[in-house]
Amino acid sequence: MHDFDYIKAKSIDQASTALLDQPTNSSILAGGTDLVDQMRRGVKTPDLIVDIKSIPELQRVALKENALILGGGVPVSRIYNQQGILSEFPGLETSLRLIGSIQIQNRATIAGNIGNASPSADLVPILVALESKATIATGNSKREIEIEKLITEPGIIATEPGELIENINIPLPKGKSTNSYLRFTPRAEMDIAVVSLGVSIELEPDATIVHCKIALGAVTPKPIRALDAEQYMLGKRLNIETVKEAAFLINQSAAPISDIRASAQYRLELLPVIGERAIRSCAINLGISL
Amino acid sequence: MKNKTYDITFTVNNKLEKMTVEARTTVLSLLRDQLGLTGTKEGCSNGNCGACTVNIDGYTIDSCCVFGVEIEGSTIETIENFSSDAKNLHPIQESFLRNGGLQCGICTPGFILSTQHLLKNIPDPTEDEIRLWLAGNLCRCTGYDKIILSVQDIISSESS
Repeated sequence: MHDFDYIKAKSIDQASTALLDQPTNSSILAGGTDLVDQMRRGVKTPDLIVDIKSIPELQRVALKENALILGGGVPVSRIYNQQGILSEFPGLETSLRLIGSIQIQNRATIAGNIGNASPSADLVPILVALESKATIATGNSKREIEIEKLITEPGIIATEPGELIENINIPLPKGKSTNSYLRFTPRAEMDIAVVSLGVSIELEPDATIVHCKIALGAVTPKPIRALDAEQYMLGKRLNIETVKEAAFLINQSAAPISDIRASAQYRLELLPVIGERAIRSCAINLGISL
Repeated sequence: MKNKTYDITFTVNNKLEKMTVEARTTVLSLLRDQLGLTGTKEGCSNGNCGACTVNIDGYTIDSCCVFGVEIEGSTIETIENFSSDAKNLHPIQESFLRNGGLQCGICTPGFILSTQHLLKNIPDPTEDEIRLWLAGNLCRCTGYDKIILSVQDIISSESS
């Protein structure tokens, strides 16, 4: 591996300043589970690495009255290990537990999974379905951006040099609501999604759907919602006909490619199946038998 | 231009170590090449196979994916902290040996570290839990069944 300089930043300001001093060839190091491998293969050759794991704000995990706040530098296992913090977010818990192996979950961070902007990132579809926002910070500024808008193309996020993902802000679901994440992989563990899907849904007491977000993974270059399916579901009762029609409509939003993991055609065959199962899983969470 | 070197202090297997490293030195390389702790193995070098699993501050981690400069102040446990006395092995080592949970042995240090981490978090895991918690360790010899059996046998030996 090429040699480089390393800074363990103690504050957002220090990290931001270091990144701005060397804007053309520096990398942010969070868990490193992707970056170290990319550097070993020579895919990335930064002259400076800025380690953000020691910044206190990025280690924050807090369940507030109306939102769950997850610091960008928190390893994913530290999140699901906190009792009760994910009780309103079964879909998020599923996605956190599917990233890599236990060893990877002990190191890899939320911000890393988002910042890498892989189309098959496990956290992204469910975070988009939950209408999550990222807090993007520098030493003296902060802004919020929807995860859906933050990721612009494979490997690219809409941040400026010196900006860090400080945290992810996930609104607490309201009323009779639930969420789910489902992916298809040829192997049960240690594999990468061929298609994936996050669903967040809210029902009236009579099972009329009043809120529905469906986000797709691994079938578009950047996060995308299945708007046709969402529109169709709104105002309908959550029953088997609604689920089947919505699952069919999901493909309207997908634009998969053929790659080493699957052909585009195969992905289009799979997506409605995974979609139906993910929505069914929401119904099960709410005690509705379809 | 020469890059900087970094002084780091950390604990490995209850021993305090101070050393100077380049930023690019991984924990795996530091353990094997600088400290001579060659029980930790290099497999895929990209975080898939788990042969390089060590325990850092209570969590199993692939040491090929961590730079030495990141572990300043950390506490590390490697396979060398178990036992090298064949007559007095650690219960996890003993069970792997008794049940044929290894053949060539390259993956074994990683499996033992992962098994220890599993049993600390879930003292009485189901077979599904064992398979999930060991999914980050690959073995090309055993077909896994005897590894699963080895883990289950530790649990039943300890409870009897």
